[in-house]
Amino acid sequence: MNRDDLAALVRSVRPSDADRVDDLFTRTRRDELFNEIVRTPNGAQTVGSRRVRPGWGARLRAPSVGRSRPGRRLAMLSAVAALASVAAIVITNSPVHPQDASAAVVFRGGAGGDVVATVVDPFAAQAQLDAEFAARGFDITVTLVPVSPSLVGTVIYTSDSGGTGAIQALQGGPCITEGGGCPIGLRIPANFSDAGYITLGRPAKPGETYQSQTSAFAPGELLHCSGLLGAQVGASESVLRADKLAVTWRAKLTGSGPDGTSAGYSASSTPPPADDYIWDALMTAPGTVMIWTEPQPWPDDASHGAAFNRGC
Amino acid sequence: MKSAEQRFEELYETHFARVSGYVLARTDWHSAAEAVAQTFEVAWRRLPDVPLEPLPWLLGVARRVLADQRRAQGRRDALFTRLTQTNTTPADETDDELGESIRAAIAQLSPLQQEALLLISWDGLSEREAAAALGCSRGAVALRLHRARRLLRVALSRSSPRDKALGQKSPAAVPVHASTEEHA
Repeated sequence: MNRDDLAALVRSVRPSDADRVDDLFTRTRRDELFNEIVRTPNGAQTVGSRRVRPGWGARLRAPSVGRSRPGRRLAMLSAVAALASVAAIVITNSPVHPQDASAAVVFRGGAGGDVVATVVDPFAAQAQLDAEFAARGFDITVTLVPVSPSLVGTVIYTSDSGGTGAIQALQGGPCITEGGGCPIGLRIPANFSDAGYITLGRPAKPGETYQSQTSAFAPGELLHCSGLLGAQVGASESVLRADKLAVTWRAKLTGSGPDGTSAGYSASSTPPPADDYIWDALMTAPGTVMIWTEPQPWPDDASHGAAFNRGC
Repeated sequence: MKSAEQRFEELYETHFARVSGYVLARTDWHSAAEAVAQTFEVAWRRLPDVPLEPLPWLLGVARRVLADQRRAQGRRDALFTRLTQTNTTPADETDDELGESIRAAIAQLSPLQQEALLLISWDGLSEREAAAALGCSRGAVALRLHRARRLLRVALSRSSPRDKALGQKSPAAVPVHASTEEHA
């Protein structure tokens, strides 16, 4: 059974009444709902008093280490330096309490009595991180997950038992993520009393796969400044071989699927045609990369393109 | 420059049907109406956070709203229930036996595998968009899809008359086990 057959089978069991949106929401009801919603205040002023309480986990990411090629070192150092400067600003910014020099988390006061927390040592033990939040009266559990190099030390995910999304991620790091932004801090309401859960990125241990990653061409990642973004497959072999990378090629399939959506990408360890172009890549584990290719040239104005080549 | 209300109206009109379709495919009508309303209420309240490509973000909100409903109502997983409903009308002329096999096979996937698979097959998202909706990386979605498809092929090869009808070979047996990344 090929992928198209499988997609058709899965689509065939989509409940048909899911398309009866107009029956559920008539035009009148839809307009009423719209008016009802926009009558309520919107924006940040409603935080803490919102009526709707969806479980909410901001998706976050961010920067730093490990690459072997001297030509790419400058970009990596720039990313690390930028992260360090962010941390330094936080440290000098009126901490809520005198801070232990060895603290893994820096706390300071934010607007409206909120607490702003920045993790300055993502290599700290999980128990230490939990304890530092507990010392501020927060029931916040920190989980560390292996991430690709540029996301080490960043906030990957937040949630809370009340499902309020009260713990907000603060951007400011130099990394580039698919979701936009580079979260390196947290804003916690002063009256936050639910259980909170924070996931931070840590370096991967040998044999671990990344649980979060950004493009391998982003600053701080292995293939940044490698010249492979937009390059033809045939020109990539020497670079990939030099980095001793195991590659899974995701070549764009032509045509469309039976449900009218894109046919998607193949997955193979065999390289696609040498004249195909590299559009994106993700490190899935240290030494393992997934590379997306298409027959068409990669457009210079592709999103993130300029940012990916920053410092090269 | 557009006002907040104008921007929200554009968002609302453009994505209402897709968001409603997503929700309706996963829960009953009563809960769906509430979930759609809550999803757009969140979008209005968090309008400054809505990205330039709003649909994955909106489906991510809807997904969490549904999860909250399930927690609040103490129900079994709504999608699982939906998949195993016998009175659900399939969209195509899939025969009952095959449809039942497919629904059972999907229900056996982990929740994250189900979501990755269905966001793409049912809701027409790309892998990148599904990743944004699920709050994970595209690599994680690709991995979940790969595993989901592999498990589906195995499950269907054991029970589906479609393969026999198509005269296709059954895929090689692979171990069926929960993937280590699904708890993340």
